[in-house]
Amino acid sequence: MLTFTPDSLWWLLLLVPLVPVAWWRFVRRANRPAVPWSTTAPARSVPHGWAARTRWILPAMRTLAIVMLVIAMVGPIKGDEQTNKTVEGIAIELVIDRSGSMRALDLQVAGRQSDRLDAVKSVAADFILGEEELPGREHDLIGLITFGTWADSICPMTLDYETLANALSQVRPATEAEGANTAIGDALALAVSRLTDLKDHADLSTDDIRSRVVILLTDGEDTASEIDPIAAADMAQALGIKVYTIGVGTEGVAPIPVQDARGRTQIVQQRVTIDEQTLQEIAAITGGRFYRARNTQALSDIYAEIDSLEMTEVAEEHYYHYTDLAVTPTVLGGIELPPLLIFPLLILLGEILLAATRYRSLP
Amino acid sequence: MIPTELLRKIRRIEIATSRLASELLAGQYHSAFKGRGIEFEEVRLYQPGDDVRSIDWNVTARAGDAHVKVFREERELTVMLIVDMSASQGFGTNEQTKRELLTELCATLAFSAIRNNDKVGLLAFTDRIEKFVPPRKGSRHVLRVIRELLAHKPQGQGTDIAMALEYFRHVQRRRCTAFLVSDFQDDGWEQAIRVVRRKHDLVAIDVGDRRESELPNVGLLEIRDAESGELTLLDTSSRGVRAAWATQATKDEARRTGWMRRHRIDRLPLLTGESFVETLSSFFRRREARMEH
Repeated sequence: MLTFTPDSLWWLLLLVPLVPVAWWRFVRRANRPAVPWSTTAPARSVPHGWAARTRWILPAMRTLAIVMLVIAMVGPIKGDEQTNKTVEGIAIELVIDRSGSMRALDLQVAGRQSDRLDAVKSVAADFILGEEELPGREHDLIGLITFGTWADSICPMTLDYETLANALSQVRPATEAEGANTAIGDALALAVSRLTDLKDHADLSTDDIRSRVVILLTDGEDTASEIDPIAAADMAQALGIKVYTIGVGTEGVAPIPVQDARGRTQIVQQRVTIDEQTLQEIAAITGGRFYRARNTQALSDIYAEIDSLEMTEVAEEHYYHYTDLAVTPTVLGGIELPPLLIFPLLILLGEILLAATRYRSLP
Repeated sequence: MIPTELLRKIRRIEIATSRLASELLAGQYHSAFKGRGIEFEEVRLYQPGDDVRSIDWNVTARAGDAHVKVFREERELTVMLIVDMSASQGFGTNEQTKRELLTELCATLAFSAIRNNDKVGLLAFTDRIEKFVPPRKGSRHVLRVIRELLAHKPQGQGTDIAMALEYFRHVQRRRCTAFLVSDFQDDGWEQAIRVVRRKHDLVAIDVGDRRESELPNVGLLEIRDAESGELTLLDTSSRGVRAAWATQATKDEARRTGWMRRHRIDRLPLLTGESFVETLSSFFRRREARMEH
């Protein structure tokens, strides 16, 4: 895009046609300096010489140089459109329950009956990477914490969603040996700690993180925490961290595969309870929300809602990167142009040289 | 009121040219312009001491007594300086302008004339009559002529020789010696000169400058015609241009010279920056030789 500097001296261009006129008048004027000679009569029948016939080149060159200088002064610019996105990401800590009860086969993934953890993993992966109604996250730091009896940081805060998804897919329900209880308070506290300790990241400085969010997903009630979930929520609130809580699973009884003493797996209908009271309270304290997911679809919807609630702030700035053609070399239509100012200067130089050499003239 | 500057100039010219007139050219001028020669006055009786060669034998025979012819030398001459003051006379590239040269020349002629007890008049012209000073005697009058030559500011630019000569014929009825001092940058003066010649003794003094025929090699040169104001740009670094100019200029001069020679008009070419004494002196000698025939 070729244009001139806005609020430039564009009206100087109006003077451009006047320049040759002025020059012409100067060239033609009768009282310009000349050497008085007694008579110029012999000149009528004498050749004047080619240099004399072509001397108009000098005023022409100067006129051209002046015109070009005026144009350069007005400031021809070439604009290249550029877009700058400024992104304010958020930090999301996914806290996923992998206690024994997550084995309960009361949810579906892709139409097949599946245990809760698989369903959660599937939906969370979609939440991270984007799938159908979930747009996926961009520019957000996402970390993963799982917990059973003990809360573990599986994946630190990262923008590397592939790794995160990979780590997520590795999550297995905790065995009895690992501690299959539910330590909601500890997990929340760990998440809060993770979010607070977030150091400047290579790609994203902590200044750009607009908000910090914990998505806490559980299917039961706190059974093993050293830290009271409400205390953890207070902590989160004090540090400005929002906690979305999701209670997953059907109500009443759920089929849970249980290994018996001989190592065989048996599906046992067990009564499941979710401490909705506590989860609601955590959400309320921290300014988040509590969701109840009774099936996979609901879970997906909940993630979609959180996704839309925690929109990443993306400000797009469209701007033109203007090149001042007068002083900057540019490529225009495939031709590499030196700074425009070069031309009038070269022409002026040429004019001066010519005027001092071949076209040197008296007076 | 004559400005001091002008006075000084007049004085300088006077000193330089009157010395020239008295020392160098004195006798020559006298012999060159003897007027028409010797005029018969009367026949009278021979008296002892008279030159026997002057005895008029016819009258002596008729009268019986010896008579001699008495002659009177017609010596009282009028010199008119017809001076071209056109703008082109302001040109000069060699120490002086043509105007300065002709002023010195005219002063010399005027002093020479006064020394011989001749009358001197001035007719200055351009494309009109600029100044007419009737012929008179006396050194004061010469100074006045010089002053006019130096100080007169011409009103016109061009040259009209024919008109000036026409005017001259009307104001100068008596025979005189006229010096037409001009650069002859004019046409159609030939006929006027021939008419003047019938009655008067006319000497054409052709004042020129070296650069009129010879362009300097100075690259592009923009010249303005002093009289018409016309501008011309010449590439004087071109040998061809200079040669063509010289050819053209000398052709004009040669045509003038040829015409004057054919019509037996005395022509005295002078160049600025060159001493005119030698030229003038030899010119006087030539004239003298011719008059003795």
